[in-house]
Amino acid sequence: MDIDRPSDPQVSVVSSDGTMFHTTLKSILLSGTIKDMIEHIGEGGVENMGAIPLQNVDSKTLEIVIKWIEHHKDNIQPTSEEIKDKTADFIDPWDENFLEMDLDKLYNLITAANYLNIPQLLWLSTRKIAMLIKNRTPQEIRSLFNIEDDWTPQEIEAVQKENQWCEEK
Amino acid sequence: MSLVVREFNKCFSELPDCLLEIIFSYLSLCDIANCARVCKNWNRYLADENNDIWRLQCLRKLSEKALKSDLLLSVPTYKAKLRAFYHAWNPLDSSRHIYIKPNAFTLHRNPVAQSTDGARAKIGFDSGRHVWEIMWEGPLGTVAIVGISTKDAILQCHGYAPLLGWDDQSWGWNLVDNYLLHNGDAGNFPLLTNAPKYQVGEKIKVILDCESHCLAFEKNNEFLGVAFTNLPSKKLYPTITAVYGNTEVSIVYCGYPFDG
Repeated sequence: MDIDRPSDPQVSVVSSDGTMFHTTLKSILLSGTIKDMIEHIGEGGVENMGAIPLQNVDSKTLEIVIKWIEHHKDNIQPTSEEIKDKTADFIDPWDENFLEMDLDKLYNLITAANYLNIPQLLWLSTRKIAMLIKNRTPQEIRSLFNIEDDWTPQEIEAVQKENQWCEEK
Repeated sequence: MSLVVREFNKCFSELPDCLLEIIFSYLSLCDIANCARVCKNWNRYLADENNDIWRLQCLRKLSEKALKSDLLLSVPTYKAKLRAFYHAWNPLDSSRHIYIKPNAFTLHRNPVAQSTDGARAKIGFDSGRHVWEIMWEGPLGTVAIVGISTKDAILQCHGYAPLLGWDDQSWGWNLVDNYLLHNGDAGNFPLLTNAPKYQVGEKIKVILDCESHCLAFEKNNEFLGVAFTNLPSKKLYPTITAVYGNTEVSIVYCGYPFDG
């Protein structure tokens, strides 16, 4: 490898609360949003461009996102279509471990992955939420995600009646 | 501290639709029904019966061919089509001479001599009001009965018999002679002189009202009147019995009646 001319130049990003992070071009290109931005500038402009401001991602979340993209920068990213078709039975143990975080961090990660358009990270993090919902009653889901019960007894009864058939085997 | 909790609170209940869609796409139908009851925002998203979640669930159960067939014209949304599937014939609760075709909505009675054969739908009702369509797509033969039964009514007997309505566990309308049957006999229906007989392919709507315990019929969108009253508070299942070889009968559950 040629150390003098790095094939993966450094790129800086700035979180909504003003913290600057350094990562590499290869990593940051996993973000569709940033990829579009860079393509707009043109390849040659990358080394001269300043730090990229990310107004919708705070520093705590950006740190997590960067950890993920740096780990995955050399992997082939599946297309959105491939992700959709995937039954999602196999999860990389590194990812499984990476997603062990409290729910407000996970929430911020999901919205960041959505904003930055990182399909596989979005797929992994939303799947994690789905796995937590699975086989839980509405009350259990509410207490787990700290969601307010905003129904009147009459309203909830009507919804239950409407969907009763869904519970048939 | 409480401020943090409130902010967090808002987060998951108010996830944007595009993210709810991805999360719900991993879930089973049963989990989705639970999600609809979590909060109003989640329910609002799932109340769109034609969104991608319902399409996905629908495609897991129904073939593209069945989805596009004319049979399901009266249930326009993905959710309604899926609901009709869940309410269709029960292969495990029909005569051994009947098989359910791959579309799940149509039964086929094999050509067996000296046998009367019936089929019940998968889901029975003891509350609410329900409407389903029955279409007889083959010859009626000498006895062709549309109606309801409890799980206690038998679905096969020897000979060509008016089986549905035979005892006090079933209620039927014989399309061949426009006659009602319950406990063996119940009288003419509809109450018109020279009422037209059923023509193959016509659509019959069965209307079950578990609140006022009555059953009514409609043919080609014309209301024919109440056929049975004083129905018991037991689970009542859509049922038919047939005698003709290779005849086919379809069922499409439509949900609640539109009128008041």
